[in-house]
Amino acid sequence: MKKAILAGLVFLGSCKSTESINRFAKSASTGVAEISRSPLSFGGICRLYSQSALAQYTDTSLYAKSGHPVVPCGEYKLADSLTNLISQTLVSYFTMLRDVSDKKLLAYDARDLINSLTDIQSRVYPALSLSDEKISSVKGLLNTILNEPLKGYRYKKLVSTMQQNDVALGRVLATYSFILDTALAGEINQAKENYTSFVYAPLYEWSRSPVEKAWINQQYRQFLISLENEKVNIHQSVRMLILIQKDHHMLAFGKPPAGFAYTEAEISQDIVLLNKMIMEFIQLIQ
Amino acid sequence: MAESLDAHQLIQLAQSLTRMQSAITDYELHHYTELSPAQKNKLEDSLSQLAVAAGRIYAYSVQLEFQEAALQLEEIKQATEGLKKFLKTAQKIQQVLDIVGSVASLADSIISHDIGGITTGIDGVIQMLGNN
Repeated sequence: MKKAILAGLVFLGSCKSTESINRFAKSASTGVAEISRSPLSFGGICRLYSQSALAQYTDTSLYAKSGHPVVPCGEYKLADSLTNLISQTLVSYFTMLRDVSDKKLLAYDARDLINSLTDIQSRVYPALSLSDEKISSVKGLLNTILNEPLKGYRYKKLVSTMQQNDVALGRVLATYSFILDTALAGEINQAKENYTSFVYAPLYEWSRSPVEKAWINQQYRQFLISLENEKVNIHQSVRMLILIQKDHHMLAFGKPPAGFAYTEAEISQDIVLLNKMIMEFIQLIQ
Repeated sequence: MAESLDAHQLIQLAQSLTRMQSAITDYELHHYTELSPAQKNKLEDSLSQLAVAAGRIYAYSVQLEFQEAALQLEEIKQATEGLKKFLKTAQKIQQVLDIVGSVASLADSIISHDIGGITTGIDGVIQMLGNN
């Protein structure tokens, strides 16, 4: 009896943990997918340097006279491809974690089978005359035999996968953060500098009237604001990636059920925060 | 260059180039009227070269960082494949359990001489076996 209670507690613990993994994986896959949907890209920044793109900031032919650089975009496109590869790998991993931890996956309800078996028993072996209580116990036992080992096995598989790959995931997420927060943010700073050097400065010098100068200043400010907004998006993305890494680590090494209460409480709060961040991020990139 | 610098060092280099470009642009703006056309051209050529180099280095740092994490990325891909296989196995187990349940229901229908139930039960079992 004691063993049954203990087994039941372990089972309840693993169910709860699996549910937490599922909620986390849903948020993580959505978060990473949303980051990859952001319109800012290396290729997009490179296109800013083309004459036609820069011309949108001017309605004069002055830019054509300036010594603007011709930037080859090959390196930029390759950077985008590698970034996409990282993003897709992460989305696939979290999607699989989500699918495997889905409670519908092992939702086999033994009730129909048990009802049929007990019904057969009552017809074929009526002499046994099992009491309702005994039948109910048999139902519980069959249900346990059919469902619990599978759910327990699934939980072990999930946790061992997360434990084995936690360090690798941390490295990949750090790379993704570096690409966004350092390389892409660097390109944004470079784009701002290029605009100053090759568009704003020449136009400001060549413009004659105060009205023309004011217009150029306004365009310049708008351009800088748009790039600053992109940096805000990047910052939000990196915060999400840090949170995802932390939660993955906690779920992998939370040692349920004994030490899982703290982990679960923290994960629940983080998931609410992550979902809020995803919603804010979607609004930012729209 | 790529053999001796890591991605973070490359970024520092690119940032230095960006700052240099900024300083030259400031200089040009503040001394625009004093500069001859030849000097202006020379400055703008330098600015162009700095801009192209810095932009490409930022983008190139991605390749370098990616290479350093390629092994871990492969590990994550393999873990995903492992989970995919597990998912398929779990789905098959689920189907087997469904078949067991259907067979028991079929037996129940046979015992109770429920012709409609027998037909439906057989159809269900055949369909499930066909899905496997």
